[in-house]
Amino acid sequence: MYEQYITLGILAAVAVVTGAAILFLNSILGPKRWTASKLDTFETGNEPEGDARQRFSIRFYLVAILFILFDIEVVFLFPWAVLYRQYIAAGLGLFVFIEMLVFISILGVGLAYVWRKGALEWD
Amino acid sequence: MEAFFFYLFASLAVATALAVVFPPMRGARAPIHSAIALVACFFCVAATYAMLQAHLLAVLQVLVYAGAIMVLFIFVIMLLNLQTDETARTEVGFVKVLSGLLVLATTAGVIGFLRNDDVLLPISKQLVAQVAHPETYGSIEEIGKLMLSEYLFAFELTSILLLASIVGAVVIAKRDPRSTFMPEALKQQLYRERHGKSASGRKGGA
Amino acid sequence: MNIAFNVSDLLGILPVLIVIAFAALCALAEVFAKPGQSRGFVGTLGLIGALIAFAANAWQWHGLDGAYSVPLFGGGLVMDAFSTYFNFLFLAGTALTLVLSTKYLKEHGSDLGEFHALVLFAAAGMMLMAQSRDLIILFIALELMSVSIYVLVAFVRKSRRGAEAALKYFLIGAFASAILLYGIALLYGATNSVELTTIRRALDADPSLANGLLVRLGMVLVLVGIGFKVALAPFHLWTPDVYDGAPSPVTGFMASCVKAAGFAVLIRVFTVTFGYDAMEFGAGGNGWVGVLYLLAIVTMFAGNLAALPQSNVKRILAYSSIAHAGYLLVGVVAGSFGNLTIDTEAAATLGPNGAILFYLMVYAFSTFLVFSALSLFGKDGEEHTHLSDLAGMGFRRPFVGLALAVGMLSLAGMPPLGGFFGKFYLFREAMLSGRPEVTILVLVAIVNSMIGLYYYLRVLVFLYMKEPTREVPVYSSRGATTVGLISLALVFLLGLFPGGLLTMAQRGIGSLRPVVTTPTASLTATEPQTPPAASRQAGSRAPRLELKAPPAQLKLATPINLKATTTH
Repeated sequence: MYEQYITLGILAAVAVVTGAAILFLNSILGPKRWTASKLDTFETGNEPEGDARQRFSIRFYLVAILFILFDIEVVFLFPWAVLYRQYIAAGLGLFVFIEMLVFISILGVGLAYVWRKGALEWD
Repeated sequence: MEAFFFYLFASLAVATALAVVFPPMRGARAPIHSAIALVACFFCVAATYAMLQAHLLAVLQVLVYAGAIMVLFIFVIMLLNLQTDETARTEVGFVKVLSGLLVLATTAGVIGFLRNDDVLLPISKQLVAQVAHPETYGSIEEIGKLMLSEYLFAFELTSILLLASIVGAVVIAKRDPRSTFMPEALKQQLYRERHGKSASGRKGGA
Repeated sequence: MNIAFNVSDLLGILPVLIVIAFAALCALAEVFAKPGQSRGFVGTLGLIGALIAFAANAWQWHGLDGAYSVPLFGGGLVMDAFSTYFNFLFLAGTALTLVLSTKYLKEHGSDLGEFHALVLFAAAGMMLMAQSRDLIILFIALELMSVSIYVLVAFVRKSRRGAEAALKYFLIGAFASAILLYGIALLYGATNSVELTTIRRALDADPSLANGLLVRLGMVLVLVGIGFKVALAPFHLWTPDVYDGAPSPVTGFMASCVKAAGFAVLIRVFTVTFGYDAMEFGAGGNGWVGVLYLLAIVTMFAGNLAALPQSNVKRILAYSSIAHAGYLLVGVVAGSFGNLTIDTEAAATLGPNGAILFYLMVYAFSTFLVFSALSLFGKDGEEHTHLSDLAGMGFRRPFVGLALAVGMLSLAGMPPLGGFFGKFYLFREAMLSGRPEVTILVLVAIVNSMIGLYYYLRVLVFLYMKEPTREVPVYSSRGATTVGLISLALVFLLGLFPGGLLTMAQRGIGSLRPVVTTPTASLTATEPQTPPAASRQAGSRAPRLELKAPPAQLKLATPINLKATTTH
């Protein structure tokens, strides 16, 4: 039953092992000669000022949340796309097509709203 | 074998969930550590879903939660960018312990009130809905079929919920020139930049 | 596989479809209008939508026989007199909210069209909550309502308290939704269904299942989830902060419509799924009545006692809304003991009585009456609703004072206002059950009503007997006056001539009754059934119900049947 996950497990294991191995090998094999100037923050030759951790603009948040909402929309498209041929074969192609059309049109209203509102702009 | 993986992923999920609430290191980086632990937790939960034959759900858990929603979390963490003193945890005081106990007592009381003899019976024995599922159960096709036929209305309703959420998110997060504290001069300048003409004649400014 | 769709199903949710279409139109109107233009017209657009939906709902009511319930979308939704009654309430509340808020938004510098779109989205969610018979649709509808309300609470950008209230409401609301969803999952795990009548059938077929931990826990979690939404104690702690911080028209909308939607769900889920017969204390039944009994007492006392020391009118109203949720629970509990209907001829039938629905409607209009006046107090994100802000207002702005005074008296339950008859019928019907437990509960409710008098009358004292101490900005608005006049008229009319609405309420609750209790007969529970004789009698006495049209009339002449089978 879970055969298909074995490959996934192997992939995950290889990925983790490779990543960890590179980091580990680098830390033991790489030569380390620290000097004051090498450890200094390099910023176009100027003395660094202030904290590197600035507060992000809320615009990132808006973009991220809109991304999630439309991402979820795409998730719903996925099973529909997988099944569409079967539905056509069963003579329900048009029905299922309209079903998805309604779904996408409703979110199309959302896209039109977001677009016109300027929420996708970086003003 | 199955039991082994279940206990593995279940205990990992609990451990990582605890790591979310109590990040191992304190300070400014603690929120990021919590977020990473949450990703791990999502993966463990996804593995549990896969073991329950909920394959699509497992994929979505990784795609939507560990992917998209975590991006949002990280954005919020960077948006707030809490300094060390702001993340300093409040001490576990008497009131908190008391309220925790109260919650437990209430839960126990409510369950106890619905008094019945078999409260302590293992839940598995009370299950009747143990239906034998075909091999394809939980696959994308099976869920898609249910979604597009039996739960068609719920499916379409989801898009309306998403639409309402989009409108809501924009209202909350978008700075509207008409509803903020911006000085009038700045507002007019912004209006000119966006629309290429003077804003002096318009009504309903703020 | 069965495709749960028939084109005629769309007629069954016609009001919802209209509301959703107008919500989308409002959102688009906001962004396609000129940037500087006033957004009052979006409110008008929304109002038109609500009124058209109201007309469509009236058409549905007209075509329904009270005893029938028309299953839609394969039984996931239902159109019956119960849902149609609630849709009247939601649509009226939506229309009043839209009228009330246009000027409010301008005064508070948030004149955005999204407000109207979100109010309509919330209304669509509420209507689907009342119509759903499937826990998944119920949950999505509840989320649709909740998400919209979270945003509405924070809508006035200048108001810091609004933002704080929205955050609190969002966190607690999301928590409540999660609890509800957990309950739904447990019920599904126990019965392998999310459809209410199927769950009921599974529980009827196997009493050991119905008494099992899984079902009981699921039931309690569902109750807790809904309890948060309707602000039952001890799940009410968010209420004062949120009601206080939210814009006044939104508070009115929440107090009237969100609460009604919660009760619609509570009544339908608990009567249809868990049944209302054989649910006596201890012995036998699921015991939800016992839980509600305790919650009712706790909620009434928590609301009324906590309202006493408050000095902000909106907080007083928040606690008052908690108290009213407690009174409504008295009706739900009493209904579960049977022998309860306003119609004594049909006294043999079981189930909650129409008095609850009547009460909800009266409470909604009393609330709108109060908030039509209260929303005028303030400007630029700052609301002035402290008791001292009201001082002398009864003479300086007589109509504002009158609206507040009559609204408070109606909420307190003073004759001859609607609020009195709401309480009177609720308590009378409860007493008719003749059970000592219920009598005790009613006595508690009456004691609580008397406690409530203190804080309602205190508002009147400030309105008419105190000298103003400072100047507060109170604007005037034709919209608020309209809402005030309509609500005032209804509060008086429902008090003087309650008969019409009472018949409607009775018919609404009657449509829940055809749920079958024996496993064999319940196999046909999703089909329209022959109405019990009692309901038919009750229906035929009211003149307007004689225009009976079978539910089939609502279907198209030649319904396109999309039921098809696919093979794999």
